[in-house]
Amino acid sequence: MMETTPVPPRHMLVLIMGFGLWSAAFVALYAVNAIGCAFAWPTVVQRWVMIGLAVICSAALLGVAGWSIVHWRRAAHAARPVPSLARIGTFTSVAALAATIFVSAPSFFVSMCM
Amino acid sequence: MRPQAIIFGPAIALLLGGCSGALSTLDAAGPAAAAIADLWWVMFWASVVLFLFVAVLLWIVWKRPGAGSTIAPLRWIVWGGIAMPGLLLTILVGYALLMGERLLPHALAEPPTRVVAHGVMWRWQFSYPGAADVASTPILHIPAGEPVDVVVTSGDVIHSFWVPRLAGKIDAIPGHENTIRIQADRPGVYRGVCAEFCGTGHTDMRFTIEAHEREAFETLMTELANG
Ligand SMILES: [Cu+2]
Repeated sequence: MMETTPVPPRHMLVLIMGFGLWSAAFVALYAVNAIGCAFAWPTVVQRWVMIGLAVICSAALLGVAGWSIVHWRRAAHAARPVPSLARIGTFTSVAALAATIFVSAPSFFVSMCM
Repeated sequence: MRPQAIIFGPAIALLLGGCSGALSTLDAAGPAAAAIADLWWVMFWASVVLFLFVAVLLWIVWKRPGAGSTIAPLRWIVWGGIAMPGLLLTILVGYALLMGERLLPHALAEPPTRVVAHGVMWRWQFSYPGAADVASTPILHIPAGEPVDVVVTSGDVIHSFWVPRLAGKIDAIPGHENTIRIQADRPGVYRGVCAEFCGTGHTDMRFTIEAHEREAFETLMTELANG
């Protein structure tokens, strides 16, 4: 046995959840754009569905990043070592949150269909 | 001749040779192509500035090892690796979105001339909904100095309609109508190609656009309609 401190598997989950959510948001926005245009949804409806999706995905990511940060702070506060997996997970989910806001922002203002 | 001249001479000639010619995106002949060329130049000069900046940094640490080590590594990463590219990419993306928005075929007070470009392996057929009696032509005729909407369709596989001096590319997709707005500022002959690999005849799927003065275009349409 080399490693004695077990790392909770949920840290592994945080690692993939960040950019998993980012890619889900990306695909969902593209899908709603294509489907809405193909079925000629009213522009207002399509716009608000896209804005809603962007907000939901960003909120979910904010939750993941927030949970990760709170967990880190608690460990630091209790003078427990922070597993490197948890640290990487925090940075990854913050990066994914920034990326999601960046790629979904245009759905607030660019033209929907042509 | 010095070895550098042997290598860089032809390389520079090749590079500059790409800036002109019938299929050059940088030799724009209309507003849509000009917007795309402008975007290209913005990105080109931004990359030149960034490249020189990094080259200077590299040169400094090469000449004076340890230079810059008074600045903490984390600071280098945050400012040089996140803040700077983040800001530059945001500006570039914003500029590209603005340009893209201007290229879209928005409704105009005076609806532009509509023509149809139908791609089949491996040629293009052009027809004119505005002149119902005109059968398709192998050359695309458009009026010059005004916007023209090209409705692009396909009869078999995916092709792509591209006239580099007039506009960007747009896919020709079976069962789907895509519209691209082009404009030739002056009458003349422009060349186009299929920009999506579509089989063994792809390379030969070229075409010609002829832009005419408004009256000449209308006369031509009447002549074509009368056979
Ligand atoms: Cu083709």
